[in-house]
Amino acid sequence: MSEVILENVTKNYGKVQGISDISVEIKPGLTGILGPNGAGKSTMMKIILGLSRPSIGRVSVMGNNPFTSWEQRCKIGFVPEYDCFYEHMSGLDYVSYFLQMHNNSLEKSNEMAKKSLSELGLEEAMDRKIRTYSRGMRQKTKIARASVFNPDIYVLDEPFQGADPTTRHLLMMKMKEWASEGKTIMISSHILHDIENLTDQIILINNGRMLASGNRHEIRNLMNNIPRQVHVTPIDNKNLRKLAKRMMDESWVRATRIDNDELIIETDSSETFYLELPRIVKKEKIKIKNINSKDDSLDSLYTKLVGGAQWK
Amino acid sequence: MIEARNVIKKYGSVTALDDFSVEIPKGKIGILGPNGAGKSTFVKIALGLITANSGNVTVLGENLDKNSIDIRRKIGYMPEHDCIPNHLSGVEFLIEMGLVSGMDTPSATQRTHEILGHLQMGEEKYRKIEEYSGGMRQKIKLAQGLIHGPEIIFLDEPTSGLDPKARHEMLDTINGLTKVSNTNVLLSTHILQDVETVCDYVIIVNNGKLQMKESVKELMKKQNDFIQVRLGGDIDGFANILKNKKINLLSDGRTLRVPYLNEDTFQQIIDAAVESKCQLYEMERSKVTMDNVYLEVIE
Amino acid sequence: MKEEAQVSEKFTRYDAELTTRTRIVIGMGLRGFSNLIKFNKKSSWNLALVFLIYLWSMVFFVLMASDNNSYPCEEMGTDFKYCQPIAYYGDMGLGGVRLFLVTLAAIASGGLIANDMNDKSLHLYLSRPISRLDYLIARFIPIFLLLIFVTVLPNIITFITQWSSAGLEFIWIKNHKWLIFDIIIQGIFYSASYSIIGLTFSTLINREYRAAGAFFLFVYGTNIIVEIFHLFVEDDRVLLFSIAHLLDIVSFEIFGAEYYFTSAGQLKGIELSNLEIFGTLTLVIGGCGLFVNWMISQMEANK
Repeated sequence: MSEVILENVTKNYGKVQGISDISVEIKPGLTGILGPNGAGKSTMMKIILGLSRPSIGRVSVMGNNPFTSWEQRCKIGFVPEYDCFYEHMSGLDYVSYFLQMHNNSLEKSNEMAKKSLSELGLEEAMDRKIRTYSRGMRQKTKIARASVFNPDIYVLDEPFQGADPTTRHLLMMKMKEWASEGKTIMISSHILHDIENLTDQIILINNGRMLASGNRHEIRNLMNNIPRQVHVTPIDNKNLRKLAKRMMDESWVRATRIDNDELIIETDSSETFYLELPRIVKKEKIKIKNINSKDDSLDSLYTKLVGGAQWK
Repeated sequence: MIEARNVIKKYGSVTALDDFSVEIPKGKIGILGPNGAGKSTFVKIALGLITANSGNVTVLGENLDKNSIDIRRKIGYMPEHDCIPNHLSGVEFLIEMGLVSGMDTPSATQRTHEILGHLQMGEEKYRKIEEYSGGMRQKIKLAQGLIHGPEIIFLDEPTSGLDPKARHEMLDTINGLTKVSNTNVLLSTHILQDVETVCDYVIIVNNGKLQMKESVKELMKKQNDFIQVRLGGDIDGFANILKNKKINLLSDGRTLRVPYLNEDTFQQIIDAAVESKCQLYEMERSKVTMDNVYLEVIE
Repeated sequence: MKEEAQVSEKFTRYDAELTTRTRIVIGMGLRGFSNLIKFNKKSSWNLALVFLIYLWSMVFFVLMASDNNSYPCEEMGTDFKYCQPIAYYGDMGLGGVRLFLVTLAAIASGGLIANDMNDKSLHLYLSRPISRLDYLIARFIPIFLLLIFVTVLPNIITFITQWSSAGLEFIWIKNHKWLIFDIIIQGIFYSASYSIIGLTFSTLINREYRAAGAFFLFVYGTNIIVEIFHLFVEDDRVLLFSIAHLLDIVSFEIFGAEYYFTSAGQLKGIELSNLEIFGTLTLVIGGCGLFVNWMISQMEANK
């Protein structure tokens, strides 16, 4: 229902490229939108919000074209990257003002705004002028303004920017809660760790093109041309060499290397590796305490994809 | 390196630092804390930019009450907010900052180009700063703090607004430049991973008071009482096998958490994976992260 | 000879040799001064005004010197004579020079602190090994030097031409040795006062062009208002409220001459005690200094 579908969407600003030929389907749940500065993340968000019309291609948000379907706009919550406040207003007035614009009565607006703001931990600050807010509080106010309408789709552009870790944690909990209620949430962030904590579902954009989308582990599996390094640690480090020798007997192991008490195994067929490794260590009676692949992290996936390693 | 004793700083009725005492060792130190906890105030007092209402601060063995100006020869400062002039080129501005720090023109010029080289700035260094992107401005800000080869550099949110690549570069340069010249780093940030990757020590400040001072390595050694497991294939089968062995596991939708009893738990997981023909992507005893530590201390 | 191969480290250690605070401040000041008189779009106005002031002084000097004896003159003090038509030339000459001087002070000082405050690089300057006062001195030097060029130098040129018309006798210098001293003092006084007031406006209004405009309007605005007011009140203390008059009164005091000013076509003298004059001057200059210092200390505290 609350899906977002982009079909071959291209957006140009005059002769400047915004995004180019992006086709993707965003399902309910949390999706991280990643990419360098100027990659086209904000353009993509604007198109989903219906703030700009694609030059080529089709967008569908909840089954409608967002550029023309005005009535469903209050079902989309948007948190822009930049501050967009009336600095002289208090946080409460600000949120309530937007509710009143949507034909809510003053009392009801104030009540709803109060509830939404205190859920985000702004009980004490909501009567103060926005001018006095810290960056974290500003982010929370923006998110309260979006969430007070109880939208089905959230579009959050850098929602964690400038927020301290406590705020960050609180916002993440909120987002996870919304996601479990079946809402579609799109988040762009430069802090890959935050996205990693939130979700495995990502869309990666660079130079206006979509580099990858989907579950990040599945994306990594598709890039089998890049050998994967897996770190294996036996409990008894006398077994390191024994395990290394044994692993080299397998055709899908490219190399092994011992680094302190870890064995680093390089494989070009990761699915086989992950299936066979438990069997081998069981048969050889080598007890291990750690299997872990550092290039499985979002950070390394991002670096590889943006660097173009998947095409080499 | 920096010693503060019973420092009190008030802005009108707001108390920024309330009887704050800390002894900061040499090395790379991360300062964490919520907005308005007093981090920036402390940094500014240590720089001698503002004076405390009471208490005393010693930086590099010198008391700030007596000599808060000459000590800045040994200190670099990178503020959080945008503070570089638009009408100069990057090189012109950095040379000016070098000269104002007391360098002569030839060495200021040499040093400017050296640092900009490390920061991967190409020909754009000759362009006007107003044409720079956010990442480039951030680089210039870092460069002006390092230009006179200080013994301590204060970094206030050096990675805010940077994309992942620029963040890596920034952290690399901070690491590299400070390692060879033994520069001490005081890093104030909201991004806890930066502290994990760069710092030796972490200090947590809240409500104007010191909450914690700990070595990052020691902190990261601590382990939780569960094993994080990620599988592919028949996950339910895997869970059932462990359940039969009276091991209850938790799932957060992406990873499984198996309670850690002793070293044999690992073997049981492997056995269960073999039996249920699952792919064992990840098996690791969960470690304490900076997020856990921070949230625990603050709350 | 054996050649040794080497691979450089990526990062190398750097130890800077840093000079003293005094040198830093002087260096900053001189660089600021050279920025004011550089040949570019912005500073060319400064140069044009300096040129205009020289030209103007020269022209009126020639006009006044051309026919010195044919006018009835009365002695005023030992060194100055007051001759009727020359007064008009003198008024125009001095008034013109002052107009250009104030304009120059306004446009040259407007950006000095305002630009640093506007782009917040002030924070970076203050995190360097210089104190707030050092910084202010470094920003004071450029405008002060520029104004010295248009006050002391033309005065000295006048002095030298006077000397040459007196026949280049050494005895003339000997008799007038205090005059040259006074000339220099007066030039420094004008330059310093206008510089301090200019920097105050630059700090108060942290946009370059607005600061310059406000400075100019303030000096001439108060001048006109005070002169009109003086017609009705007839109390000389009113004149102290105008910066231009205040500075002129003090500079006449430096020469030990009586202050006269032209109001509604008439020459008027004033009766004011030294305490009133120098009290006001101290208040104005001290107030400016304290204000600038306070503004900058405020900026340090808030980010």
